[in-house]
Amino acid sequence: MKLKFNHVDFYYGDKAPNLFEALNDIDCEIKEKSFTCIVGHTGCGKSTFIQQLNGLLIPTKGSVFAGDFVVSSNKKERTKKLRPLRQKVGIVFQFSEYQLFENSVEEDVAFGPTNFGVKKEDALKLAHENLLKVGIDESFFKKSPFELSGGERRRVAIAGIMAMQPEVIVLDEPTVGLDPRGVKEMMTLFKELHDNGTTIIVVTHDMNLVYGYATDVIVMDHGKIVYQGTPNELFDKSVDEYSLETPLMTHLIQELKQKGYKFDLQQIKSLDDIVDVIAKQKGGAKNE
Amino acid sequence: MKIIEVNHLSYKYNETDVAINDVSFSIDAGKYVAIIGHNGSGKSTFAKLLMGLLEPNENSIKEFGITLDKKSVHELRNRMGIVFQNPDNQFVGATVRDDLAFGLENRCIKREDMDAIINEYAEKVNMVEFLDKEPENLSGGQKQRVAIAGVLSMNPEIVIFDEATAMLDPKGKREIRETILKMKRENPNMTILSITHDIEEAYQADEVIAFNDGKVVFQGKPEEVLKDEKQLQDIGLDIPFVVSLRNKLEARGIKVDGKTVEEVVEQL
Repeated sequence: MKLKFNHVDFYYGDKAPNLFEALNDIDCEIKEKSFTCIVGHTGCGKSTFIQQLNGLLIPTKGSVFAGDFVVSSNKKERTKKLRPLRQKVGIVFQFSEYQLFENSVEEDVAFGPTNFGVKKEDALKLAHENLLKVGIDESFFKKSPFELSGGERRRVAIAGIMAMQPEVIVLDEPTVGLDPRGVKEMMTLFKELHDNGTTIIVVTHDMNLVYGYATDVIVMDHGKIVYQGTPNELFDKSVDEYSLETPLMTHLIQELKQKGYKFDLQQIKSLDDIVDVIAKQKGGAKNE
Repeated sequence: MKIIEVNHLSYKYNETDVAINDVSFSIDAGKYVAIIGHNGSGKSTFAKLLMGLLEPNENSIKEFGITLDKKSVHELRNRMGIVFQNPDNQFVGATVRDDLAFGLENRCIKREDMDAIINEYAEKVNMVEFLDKEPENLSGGQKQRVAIAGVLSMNPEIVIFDEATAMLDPKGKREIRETILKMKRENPNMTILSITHDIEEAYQADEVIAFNDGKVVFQGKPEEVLKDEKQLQDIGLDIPFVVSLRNKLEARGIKVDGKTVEEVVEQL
């Protein structure tokens, strides 16, 4: 599903002087089947942006096109029933571990599909499949969500969105507060979903994750999109311009370039690739 | 001098949930110690035990040479401060000034002395211009700095940071890391325990203690203990970036010993 913003403004509050402009002339496209990261400082409009993607917030001006759905400020143009859109574009909010409410883990995950008309027994089957995918095994299925740790609950919340079989999954800071192993497991899960054809959109502050996983990146600042492109271009040229953190890998590459090493950024996927370049070019070779 | 001595400490939340399992070690005064370990490894339980927020087994913890028990807990707690993870859960005042005054009132500081103390500590964490601001107008990093000022104004000898940067954005994280290093410079005798997932922060500490499944797996200088990638991964942690780089270079026959990316590149 292609997602397109057409000159979208969004204001919180309904009258002056309480108006707050959260999005200002957003005009962009998120490619189908991309792994897009959205970055920017706290308060830049990232969370408002993602809520436009499935019509949870309606633009004050402009339109959002999500596949055949139109979420427009103009009522006449707007798709009448937006509910089916919410099955196709699933959003996992920040601190989703506090958003579970059913009596058992399996019922919580089955809630979404049931709500969209899947029969109870099929919904439970979907719940079980997706719980296993996020690493929650059978022994947890009948437990109350409150018996689980925060990290486990967050994975249940993600399974709840996956069980609706959306074409696009949007996640707002899904790795905050997780330990390094938890971060890696979480990102590997999203990568697998992406490899299987789901469009993944992740809001994050962690530039090392953007470097390691994203195919596309959008930088927001004061409600505007100030950059859209590949992570390589962003980190190679304009990280300082948007005062983002430099990923550790980029920092190393920049230092090595100053020392005379040459890199084809397309070929660099891991620290091992950088070490390969060093081993090949070290000494006389790099001057050739 | 040993400021914290832990001797056969165990703690369980219930019969099946053993959080700390018979650990013994000590921490020297004036050190900046990073405590690492994956979620559920026992490190936050350990912090709560040190503060006397959970009750340890008998004679298992000594602080400042005094055994922590029901009688001594208040006296010992007065000599320590803790900064928690969630910036919104530890702001009690209506403004930054009120928040700092709250702690001082509890210590029965005279009203006429308060203003000077509040200013002094707000200065230390760069929050003077925010003294009359309300918490909703502060960023997470700013709220955490107020929490740090509140703790410092009590003149603690031990300060514990319990994942104090985990919920902050990169700017907030940097502010807090810098504030901790500044604290350390200004108070060389203060002992700082930082419970953290940030292996790059741990690499900057004087000493690292790693928890796994309620046990201490290792304790030592970061350079000495944070170098085995497989061991760290096995307990759910990362290796510092520069150490990983050095290891991979060494495997290719290139020996370097820099402690920062810049130093390593300089040697290539």
